[in-house]
Amino acid sequence: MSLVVLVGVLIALGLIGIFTNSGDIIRPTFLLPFYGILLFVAGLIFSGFSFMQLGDKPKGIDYLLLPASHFEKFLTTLLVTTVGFLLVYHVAFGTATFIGAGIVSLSKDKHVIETGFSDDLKRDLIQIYHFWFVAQAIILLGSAYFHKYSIVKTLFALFIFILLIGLVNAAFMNILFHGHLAHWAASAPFFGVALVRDSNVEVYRSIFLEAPLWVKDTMFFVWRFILPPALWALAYFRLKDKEI
Amino acid sequence: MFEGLNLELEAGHVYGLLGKNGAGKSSLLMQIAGLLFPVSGTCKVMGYESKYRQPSFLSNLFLVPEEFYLPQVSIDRYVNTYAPFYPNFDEKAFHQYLHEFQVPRNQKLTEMSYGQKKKVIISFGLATNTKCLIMDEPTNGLDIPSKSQFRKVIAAAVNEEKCIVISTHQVRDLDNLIDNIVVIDNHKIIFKQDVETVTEKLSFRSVKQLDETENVVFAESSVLGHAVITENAGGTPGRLDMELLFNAVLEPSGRINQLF
Repeated sequence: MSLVVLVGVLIALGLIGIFTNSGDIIRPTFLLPFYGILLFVAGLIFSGFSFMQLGDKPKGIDYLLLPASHFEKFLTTLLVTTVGFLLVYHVAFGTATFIGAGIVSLSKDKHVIETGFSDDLKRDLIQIYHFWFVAQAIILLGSAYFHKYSIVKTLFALFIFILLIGLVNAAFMNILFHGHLAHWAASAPFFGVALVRDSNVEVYRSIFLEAPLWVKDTMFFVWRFILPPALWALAYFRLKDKEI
Repeated sequence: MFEGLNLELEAGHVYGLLGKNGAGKSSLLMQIAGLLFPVSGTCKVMGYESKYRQPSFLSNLFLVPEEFYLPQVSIDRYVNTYAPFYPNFDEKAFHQYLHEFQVPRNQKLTEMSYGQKKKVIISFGLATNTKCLIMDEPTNGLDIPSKSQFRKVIAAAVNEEKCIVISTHQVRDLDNLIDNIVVIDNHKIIFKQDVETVTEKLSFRSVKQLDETENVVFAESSVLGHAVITENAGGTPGRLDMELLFNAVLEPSGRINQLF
């Protein structure tokens, strides 16, 4: 039933987008924003409900006392919210695209969809998946900690966390480059810092001191391949230590 | 929650965990089931440390909580989903218990009253045949005939391998059902005795005048005069008045405890 609703919503959104679009041909680049936004919105809301039963005492007791290991329970949730969701989402999006394009083709009496994927588009898609897995892991961890309004609470906690990292980084940069920062917050954590020779020089003449490439590559690797499993592991241990 | 708790429960017995509201009964049951962890010390059940909630431990323990959850499905669907997790589940016995509680088999759980749902979960818990069966206030929400039915069903389900722990603040509901009494007050175990020892040492009766009786350990006014506990001089076990014993145990003088 949920799948039918999802396909219906996707078709409706697609048709509105297609009919309000001036171009004749629907290109993958046109579909990508719809695809990406819905992937994040639907996927993260779905992951946000992962451990909501632990916020309700009777449901929590039922869940925790079900004779299965914590790992089995966690793995089931993880597979449903990642593999299961992606599978259902792609079936829904593919079906919606097929039906939507069919309706438009019939109304215009010509073939309207272009199916070729450029290399840039493939790279963009891979980036989207990396970001999605990181976001999914953050929301899943949040769901293991906050059982009510978990998505809102997780996003707020994430905002505070990023703010703290930014402030700590700014404090260190101000100590290290005292008097040479373009302004007090002219630095990006793990990435670089904007400097001027002395405080009288205009800001637009600043130079941006970047972290070495190997540091950035390492950070990028950690972001893509280490962070999601690490967050999943944290969520698993949280589930293991859960009391009612 | 508990300080200096030292309690050992054995298979083959039905333990009645008695205490006032907020005494700590549910917390103790939660610790046994591994839903609460001790700050120090260990809680071992059937050789397993309960806080790890291993599958082999969970498949041999069933908890009927005071506030319980049943999914919005039919009874058959519930059994098909949950029963495979309990290797000793007896479906025939489950339907027999439902029959005894007069719960229609084909009724959906969503259409049932709280009392009927409670009967379903009690029946399921008994049918799992787990070595440890814990029930927190199981008679809450049951009507008078069902309470009597509950006692019969539990009495029939007891065996040498099973340890049943029932907590309640309605002590009369456990009359003639339990064989061991554990009284909790203010998060402490203040009394633990088997029923046989209690009835061997104490005599429970009603008198019109208090001076008719000697060696009164505890007395309470009643409609017919007084309900009293005296020392059982003959040592022949008599009937047990659970409510009277409970009130006597909670009395600040602690005279009952001095006799054991």
